[in-house]
Amino acid sequence: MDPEQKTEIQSVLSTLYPESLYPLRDFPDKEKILIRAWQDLSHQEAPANQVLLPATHLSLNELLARKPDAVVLLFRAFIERLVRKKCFDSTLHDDLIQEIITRLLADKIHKIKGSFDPSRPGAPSFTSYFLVIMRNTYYDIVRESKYRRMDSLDQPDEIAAERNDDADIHRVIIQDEVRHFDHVLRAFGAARYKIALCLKWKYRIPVHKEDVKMYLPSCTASDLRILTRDFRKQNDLELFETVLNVLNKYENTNSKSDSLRKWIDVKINDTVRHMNLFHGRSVYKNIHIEDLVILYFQHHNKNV
Amino acid sequence: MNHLSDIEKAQYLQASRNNSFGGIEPSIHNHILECFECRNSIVDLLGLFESEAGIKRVHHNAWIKYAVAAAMIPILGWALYRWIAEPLVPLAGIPLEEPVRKLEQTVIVPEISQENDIKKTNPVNRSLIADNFQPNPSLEYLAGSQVRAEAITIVAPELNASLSGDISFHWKSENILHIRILNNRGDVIHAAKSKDQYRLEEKLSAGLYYWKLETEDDVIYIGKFFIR
Repeated sequence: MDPEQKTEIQSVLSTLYPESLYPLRDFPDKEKILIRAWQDLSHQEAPANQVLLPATHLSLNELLARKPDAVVLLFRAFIERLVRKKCFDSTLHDDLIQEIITRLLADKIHKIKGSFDPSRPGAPSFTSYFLVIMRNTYYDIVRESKYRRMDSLDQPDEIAAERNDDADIHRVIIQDEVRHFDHVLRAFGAARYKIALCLKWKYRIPVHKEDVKMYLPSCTASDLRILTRDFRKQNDLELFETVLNVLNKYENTNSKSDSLRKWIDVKINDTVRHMNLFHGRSVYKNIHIEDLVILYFQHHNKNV
Repeated sequence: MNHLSDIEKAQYLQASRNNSFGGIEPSIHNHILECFECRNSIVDLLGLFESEAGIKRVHHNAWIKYAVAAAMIPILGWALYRWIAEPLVPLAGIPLEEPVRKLEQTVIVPEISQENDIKKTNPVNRSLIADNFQPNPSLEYLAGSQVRAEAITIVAPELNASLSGDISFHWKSENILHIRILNNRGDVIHAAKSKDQYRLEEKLSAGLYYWKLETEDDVIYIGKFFIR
């Protein structure tokens, strides 16, 4: 490829795959992969006269149709991250990454091509869909193969709990923990605002007006005063009774205070399970979550 | 219990990334709230978008474990002390959604002589006006092309239209799209989100401009127009 052609293709790529949508951090080899794909396609489709194809052939849609292997390689960084996060034996990483790529190339990418329709109303982005399929592929491999013992899903809580050690809580890196806790909260969707409020109440972390407004945008000033009250001198029963009187009004329900307390306890249990799956073992018990919640809100400066 | 389909998970993942759950079916939302397994898949996938620095794992060597454990005790204590004493600077996180940018207009506006006599205009200024009409090599190549099979129809402005005053962009699409307006150097000078239209009320300087329609992942359409 002469320098002029290379400049041209690079500028087209920067338009089709802009940094804002395909950041180098997530797609570090995109230029190399896409230029290679363009050259391959040019030689395949016009071998005799060596005419290079229009670079618009490199749009994701076209690439999926003509050069699906390039699409898989484009997402290699995500595959590597998934494996490094989920598999605790680093000696298996390379094999696992290779196996995932092989399966995606052999089969899954063609299914993606057949089932992904970006023109459907509400269709997710291709990246989101691809990542879901990639994660499924990883678990398919883990469930059926020699890698089985290496995955955190195969360590039931009871077994992992035998290995638990109170000191484990201290070996974690704060930022990793806080970040992962943020992912757990975000996965609860719109309910995370209510969960965050309940956690603050439960652990007597100051609740600010912004916290309440995120969940109850129409909350009146008098109700805001109740919900942001200092509850440190009240027990859980009194606290949840007080806040539930207000919540019932906005949620149009007639729940009892105990139901809210139980609801947040279930969410705390789920959070502990999510956090332990991240570590592949029972690092956390319910009592440790309080420290994490305090640090999380400290880092996130008041609200979620 | 039936789990979410792959498409539904992808929809929820995208909504979580964008912090925008408006388009999510209540049944999907309720399922995620109740189903640990489906929710955990979202937690896993959200973690893949973070920087590498954030996902280094602690290996299981005993000496590392206890060294880190020993180090973490004062750090945790210090962090809690700082929280009680004074708030820390918030953690720098990845924004949930790319912020809608409105960059400063960077098109060069040359001063035209009061006499309005083009012959008297400084030759340097004339060359700057011409610069504003120079085609952008990468955008020019794609202008007028619909680069993805997204179901959209471009209504206005037409390709290569000469415009003045307020400019209205119209298109037909099923989804909300990002619209970006760029000058001929490729700088984004306006950005917004809309399903089918955008009205630019700011007066643009004379020159060549491009506009792009994008989904969260892809460029859908690139058009161009002139301001005379």
